[in-house]
Amino acid sequence: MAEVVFFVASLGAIGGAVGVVALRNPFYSVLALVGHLLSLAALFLLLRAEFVAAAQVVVYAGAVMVLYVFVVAYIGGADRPVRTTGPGLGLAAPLFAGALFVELCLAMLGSGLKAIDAQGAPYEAGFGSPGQIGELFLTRFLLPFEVASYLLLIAAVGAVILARRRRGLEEEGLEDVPTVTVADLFRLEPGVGTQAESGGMLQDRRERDERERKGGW
Amino acid sequence: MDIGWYLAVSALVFCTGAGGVLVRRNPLVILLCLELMLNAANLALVAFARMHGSGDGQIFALIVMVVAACEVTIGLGVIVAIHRRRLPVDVDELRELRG
Amino acid sequence: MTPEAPHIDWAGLSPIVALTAGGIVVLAAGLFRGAWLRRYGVPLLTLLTLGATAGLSIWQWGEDKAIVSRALAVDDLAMFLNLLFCAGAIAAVVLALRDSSPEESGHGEWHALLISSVLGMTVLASAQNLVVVFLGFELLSIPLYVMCATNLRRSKSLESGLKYLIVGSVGSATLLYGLAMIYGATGATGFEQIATALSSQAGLIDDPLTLTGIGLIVVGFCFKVSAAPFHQWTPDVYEGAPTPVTAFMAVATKAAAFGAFVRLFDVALIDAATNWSPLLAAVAVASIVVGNVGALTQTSLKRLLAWSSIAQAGYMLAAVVVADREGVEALAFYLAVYLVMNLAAFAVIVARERETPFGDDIRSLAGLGASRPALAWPMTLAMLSLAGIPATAGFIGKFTLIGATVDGGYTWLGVAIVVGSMLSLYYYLRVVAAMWLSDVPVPAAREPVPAIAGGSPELDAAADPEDGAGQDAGPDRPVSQAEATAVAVLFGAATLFFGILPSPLFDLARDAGSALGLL
Repeated sequence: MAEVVFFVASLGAIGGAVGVVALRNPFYSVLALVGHLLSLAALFLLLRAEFVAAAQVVVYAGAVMVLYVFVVAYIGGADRPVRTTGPGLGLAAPLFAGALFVELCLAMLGSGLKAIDAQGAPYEAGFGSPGQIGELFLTRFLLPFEVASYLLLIAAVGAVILARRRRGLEEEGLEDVPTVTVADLFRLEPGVGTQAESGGMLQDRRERDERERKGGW
Repeated sequence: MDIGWYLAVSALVFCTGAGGVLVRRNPLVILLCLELMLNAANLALVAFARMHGSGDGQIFALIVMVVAACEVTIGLGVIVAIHRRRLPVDVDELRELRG
Repeated sequence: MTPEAPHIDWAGLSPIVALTAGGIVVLAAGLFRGAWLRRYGVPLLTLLTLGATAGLSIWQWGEDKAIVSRALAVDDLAMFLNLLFCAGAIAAVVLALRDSSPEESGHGEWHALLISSVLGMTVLASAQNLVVVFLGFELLSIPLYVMCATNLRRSKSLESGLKYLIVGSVGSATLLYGLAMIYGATGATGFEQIATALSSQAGLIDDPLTLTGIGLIVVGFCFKVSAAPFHQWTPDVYEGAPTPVTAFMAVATKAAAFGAFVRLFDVALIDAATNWSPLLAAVAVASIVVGNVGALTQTSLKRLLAWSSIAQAGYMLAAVVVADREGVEALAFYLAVYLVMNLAAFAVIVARERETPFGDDIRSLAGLGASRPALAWPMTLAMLSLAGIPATAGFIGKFTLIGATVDGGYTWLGVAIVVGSMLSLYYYLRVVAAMWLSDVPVPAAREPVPAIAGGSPELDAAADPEDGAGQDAGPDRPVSQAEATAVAVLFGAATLFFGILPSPLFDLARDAGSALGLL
C-alpha cells in the first residue's frame, strides 16, 4: 500500500515540477506547482511528518499559492512561449540540470550510510506530531522560531513598501496617505498610482499598448 | 519504501527547479522554480528526519516554509512594483543592467 | 510532561534584543505626523539603536558562551563582527540622510529594514546551528532585496532588487540543499554535534553525501560573498542599488557571510578540511583573477568597487582556507580594514553623485583634488589602501593575510594575493589619477531629458530627489554634502590611522581570532 501511494505521489511531485518549468502560461505553472505541493504533502505523510504535511497544505498550497494567483491575475499572465536565449543556454541548462541530477543521485545513493537503504529509524509514538514539533520549537529551536516570526513581519513590511501606491513623494502626499484596499488588487486601469505623476504616463501607456499588440505578455 | 527513493525524487525535483531557473525568462515562473528548489530541500530534510528518527529535520522544513513564503512575498512585490513602472517584466529585456 | 523552557542568558542576547526592539520602535516612529520628525527623528532613533547594540556588544566582550539552547555563540568573534555591522549601518544611515530612497519607501520602513538586516547579520555571525545559519542568511538578505529596490522611481533600482532577489534565492536554495545533506550525513544540526559525528564515525568524512553537501554549501556561500564563478550579479546589483545601500551591502554582508563561513567550515566541518580546502583555494584564486581582470575596464565607480569586492572576497577566502587561529585573526582584521576603506570610497561616491551630473561615473571625480580636497584625500587613501600601498590599513591587512597563508602552508595562495594586488594597482591608480591629474570637466550642454526615469544612467543618477524627474539636474546645484564628507573624512582618516598604528585593531582581531578555539 505504501508503495502505491509513494509511486503515485512521487509521480505527481515530479510531474508537477516538470509542469512548472515546461508550461507556457504562468497561470498553469502555478496550478502545476499546487499539484506538486499537494503530492509532496502526501510524501511527507508517508515519512510520518504529519504536522509538516498539514502545514504544507494549509500554508503553502493554500495561502502562498493564492498570492501567486492574485499577482498572475494582476499582471496578466498571457501566453508566452518558453523562449530560450539562443542555442547556448537552451542546450546548456538541461545538460547542467542532468549533470546535477546524476551528481546528487551519486551522492545520495552511493553514500555509505546504511540507513539510506532502509525504511528509517524505528517509529516512536509522537514522532512528527504537533506536540513534538511544538516542544522542539519552544525548547531547542526557540531562537529560530522567534527569528522566523520576526522575518515574517519584515517581509510584510517589505511587501508594503514595494507594492503600495504612492501619490508623489511623501511630502506632498502626506495628507491623503495612500491606502491599499483589497479592491486595489483588482484594479487594472493604467494611469493611476505611481506612474501617474512620473511624467511619462502617456508614453508609457502607448508603449504598453504596443507591447500588447505584439502579443506581449 | 527506502529513504533513498525519497531522496532520488527530491534530487530530481531540485534539478528540475535549477534547470527552470536557467531556462525560463519570466520572473514569475523563476520564482516558482525557486519554490521547487526549496521544496526539494524540504523533502530531503523530512526524509533525513525520518532516517535519523530526529525531529530536527522537520523543524528545519517548517522554517524553510516560512522563509519561502517571505521570499515569495518580496519577489512578487518587486514584480508588481516593476509592473507599475510599466517595465518589461522579462529578465532578458532588463537591458539596462548588463553583466 | 511539561517541556522545560531553555535558559535564556539575557546579557548575551542583549545586542539582539536591542536590535529587535529598535527595529519595532523605528517602524512605529515612521508613523510620526511631522515630516521633520520622520526625516530626522527616525534616523536618530536608528543611530541610537545601532549605537546601543555596539555598546552592548562591547559590554559582552570577553564572554565565551553559547546561549538559548546553544543556538548562538557569544564570543569575541561575534562581538567583533557586531561592531563592524553597526559601523557599516551607521555609515549607511548617515549617507542616506538626504537620499531619495528612504523618502520614497518611507523613513520608518527603510530604517526598520536596515536594522533587521543588521539583526540577520548578528544572528548569522554567531550561529551555532544549521537552522540558524539559514535563517540568519534570509533575515540578512530579504531586507536588502527590498532596500536595493527602494529607489522606486528608478527602473535600475527595481531591476537590481529583482536580480539580487533571484540570484540570492538561488544561492539560498543551493545552500539549503547542502545543509540538508550535511544534516542527512551526520544526523545533527548543531555545529558541535556535526563536528563530533564527523570525527567519530569512520568513513563519514569521505562519504559522497558529506562531500556533495560541502560542495553545495560552498556554492551557496560563493553566491552570498560574491566569489567567482558565482559573482556575475555583483556589478549589476551594486550599480543599481541606491549608493548608501550599496555601501552597507558591500561591507556588512561580506563580514556576516565570512563570519558564518569560518564558523561552519573551521569549526563544524574542520575534520573534512582535507576535502574542502582545495575547493575553497581554487575558488579564492578564481575570484582574485576574475575580480581584478573584470575591474580593469570599468568606468562606473560602483561597478569598479563591485569587481574589486570580488577580488577582495578571494583574498579573504584564502584566510578561511588556512583554517587556523592566525587565519581567523587575519580575516577579522581584514574585514575591519575592508569596511573602513570601502566606506570612505562609497561616501565620496555618494557626495559626488549628488554634486555632479555624472552619477557614479569616474568623470565625476575629475579635478577633485583641486576643487574638493576634503573628498579627494579620503578617496585617494581608500584606493591606495584597497591596492595595498604601505602606510595604509589595506597594506597591513594584506600583509597579515599573506603571513597567515604562508604560515598555514599555502604559500601559493599568498603569491596569488600579491599578483592580484599588483594587477589591481592599475585600476585603483586610474581613479587616483582622475582626481589629481585631470581638470574639472565642462559639463556638456543639457541633454534632452527622457520622459521615463531610467532613460540614461547619468541623468537617472542625477535625478533630483526632490522632484524625481531630473529636469534641474545640473552642475550648478548647491554643493554641500557635509555629512557624506564627514563620513569620508572619518573613514579616510581611519584608513591612514590603522595603516600607521594597527595595534589597537590588531588586539581586537586577536581576541576575535582566538574565540573559535583553533590552534
